[in-house]
Amino acid sequence: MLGSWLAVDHHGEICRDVEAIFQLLFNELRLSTGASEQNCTDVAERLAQEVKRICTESKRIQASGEVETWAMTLARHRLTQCLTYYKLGSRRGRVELHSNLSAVIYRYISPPQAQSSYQARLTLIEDFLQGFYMEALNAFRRETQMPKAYCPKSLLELAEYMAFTERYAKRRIPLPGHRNQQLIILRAQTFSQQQPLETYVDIEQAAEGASQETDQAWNAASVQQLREQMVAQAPEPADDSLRHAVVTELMAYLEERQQSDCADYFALRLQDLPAHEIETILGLTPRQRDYLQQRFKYHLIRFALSHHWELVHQWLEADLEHNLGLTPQQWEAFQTQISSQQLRILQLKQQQLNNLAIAQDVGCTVTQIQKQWSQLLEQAWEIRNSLVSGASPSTDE
Amino acid sequence: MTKNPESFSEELLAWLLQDSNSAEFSTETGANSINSGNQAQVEPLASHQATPAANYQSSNPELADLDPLDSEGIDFALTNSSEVPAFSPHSGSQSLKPGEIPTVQDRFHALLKRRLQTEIQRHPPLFPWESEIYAYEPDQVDSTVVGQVPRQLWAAQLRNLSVPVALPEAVLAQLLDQCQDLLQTSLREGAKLVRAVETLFPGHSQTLNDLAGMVLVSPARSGTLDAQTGASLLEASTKFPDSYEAATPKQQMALSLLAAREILSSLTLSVSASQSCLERQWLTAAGLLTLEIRYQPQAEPRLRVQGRLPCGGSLKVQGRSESTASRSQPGCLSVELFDPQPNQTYPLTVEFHDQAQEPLVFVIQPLSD
Repeated sequence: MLGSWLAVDHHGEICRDVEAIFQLLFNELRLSTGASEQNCTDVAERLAQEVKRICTESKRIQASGEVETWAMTLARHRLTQCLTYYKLGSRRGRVELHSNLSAVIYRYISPPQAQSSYQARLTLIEDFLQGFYMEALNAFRRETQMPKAYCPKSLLELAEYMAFTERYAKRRIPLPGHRNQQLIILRAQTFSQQQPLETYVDIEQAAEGASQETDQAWNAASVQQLREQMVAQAPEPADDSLRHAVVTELMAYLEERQQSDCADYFALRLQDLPAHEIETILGLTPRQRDYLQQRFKYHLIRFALSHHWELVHQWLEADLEHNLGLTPQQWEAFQTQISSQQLRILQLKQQQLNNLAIAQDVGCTVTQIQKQWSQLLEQAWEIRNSLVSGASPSTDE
Repeated sequence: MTKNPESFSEELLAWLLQDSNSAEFSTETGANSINSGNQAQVEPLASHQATPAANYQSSNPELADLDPLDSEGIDFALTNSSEVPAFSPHSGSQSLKPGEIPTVQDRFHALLKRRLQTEIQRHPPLFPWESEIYAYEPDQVDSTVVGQVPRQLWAAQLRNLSVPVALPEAVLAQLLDQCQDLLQTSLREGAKLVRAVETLFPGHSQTLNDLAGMVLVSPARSGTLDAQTGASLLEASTKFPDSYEAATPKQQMALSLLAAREILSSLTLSVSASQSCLERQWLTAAGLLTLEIRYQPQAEPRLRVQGRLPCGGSLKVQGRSESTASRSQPGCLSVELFDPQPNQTYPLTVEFHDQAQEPLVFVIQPLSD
């Protein structure tokens, strides 16, 4: 710790503020908890030290020129976390922490060979988190320079530990390619893949690197290697951002229509969970899940055909720029099939007018325009579909 | 067939679900949403690269997992460069899996957390140093509460106190003990309340004093707080929570003060010339204890106490003289005190035989009209 104390001296403003930060923390703890004065002093002291350390070591904070503001904000943040757990108490606090962390790692913990199931994952998560709580306790002892045998004894100390564990779990470990991942997720993956113990240790070191003096001796090269190994190559399909847009829009669409069970179902589907696991999580029978799935698909089609056609047709490469995905001959034929009003709507759409403007031009309501437009899209879809499915002979030569 | 919505939706869904790659690592933007899971934070990290301080002061009080050192330290060590790596907020944002889009991730997280909670509540985890779940509360009282024989015999009555939220038995037992000690002191009511409660909240005398003032003006035995007189109290504690454990420390103080007042008032038997007869019931673990006090202020002033005991026991009333009565079976007993002085207090002690518990002491208070 001496190293950082020396560093503090270069930054006089921190020195002055440490006392202020300690006082702030101490007063708040005294006022908001039933803990003894000694207890409040200890915890406030530890939190103040941590804030000071961060402010001293972070180049970003030093460079910002707003060290004081950062220090106060960090102190308040730590305090809020600690008090939140204190108020929840021993039992509810640990339920909160445990369920929060379990949900974060759920996807990353999968039973080895067997197909995943909710219960199997839960058992593994339980095992994993038991180890993780020990690791967090050790990290806490180390970083606060507490004795190796230190354990929380009072409710306030327990709250301090739980808040620390949450922060520790969410520490970001940088990965190649300017990416990073939360510590607990990396650990969960290692656990799940049952990697050798060395890897386990390396990740721990990597995590510590974020919080200890930077001159520690550990093998940077091996960690680098490990990270590269952990990161799978990441191709970047061009349509990813389009897919993301559709997913986000679809979620919003389902919410708007108060189909939150469909949205829940969709969120679970997107996590690659098998049907039986989805059933367990949603508390449904296979039959009910099947029904929900049908309902979801119904909404998916409505979403695709009516309101959010642009996005979906982009996917189909069937947007207006592509003549709704029709061949030149089909496009010609399509235009002769539709009514003159529909043709006009089509032209105005191509000019990128909005529905209101089109409605005014054509002389009907916006709703009618939407309806007509859906019909047009459906017709185009039928033509395309007949081509793709080969049900009718192609007119394209 | 010319129209096949089923295959269309299958296709669309398959495309949406398509796993872009096997990378399990999310990028900054995606993973960042896996925090407390209750707010959608779509872009905090991107902005925090640019103006950390500004972001810190931003509206989000939770600050998510924003710890400036988290992404700094390791990069120094790895690159041996003194330069802070240049983060590009958008790099890799395309390599998100659809399930990692923040809105989806948040929804999944919240959904799962809710589901997991039902199990976890049934089997809360133990921390490494624990062999069972301790209450860890309140921090200070251990030395005073532990080691004393709890007044289980008398505590049954306390479950029926008219306070807005039930208090834990340990707290009630402690309060009853304190109230027993304070009952015969000449302290004013407010001071008694503070003294009764302060062992539960050491070092909070000032807050307790303030709260006691408000507790005193709220109507007694109403079961609910009066909206006007108790307004400040309500303001201080807003709405009372579902349980004592869920209450803020200040609410716990207020609740304890209310309970202490209820206990003190139940133990005080006030009679006067105009209200010369009083009946009081106290539920004990052995059954219902009924006391009837008759005050005769004129002629030869006297106090007469008739008690109906649920089991063998004794009654004792003390003044200048002392009167004791005892019986071995359930039933009635009576004791009498002559020449009681108005506005004095006289202890009335109830003891049950075969119960290795301290007696319960009431005070009788003859008031001048």
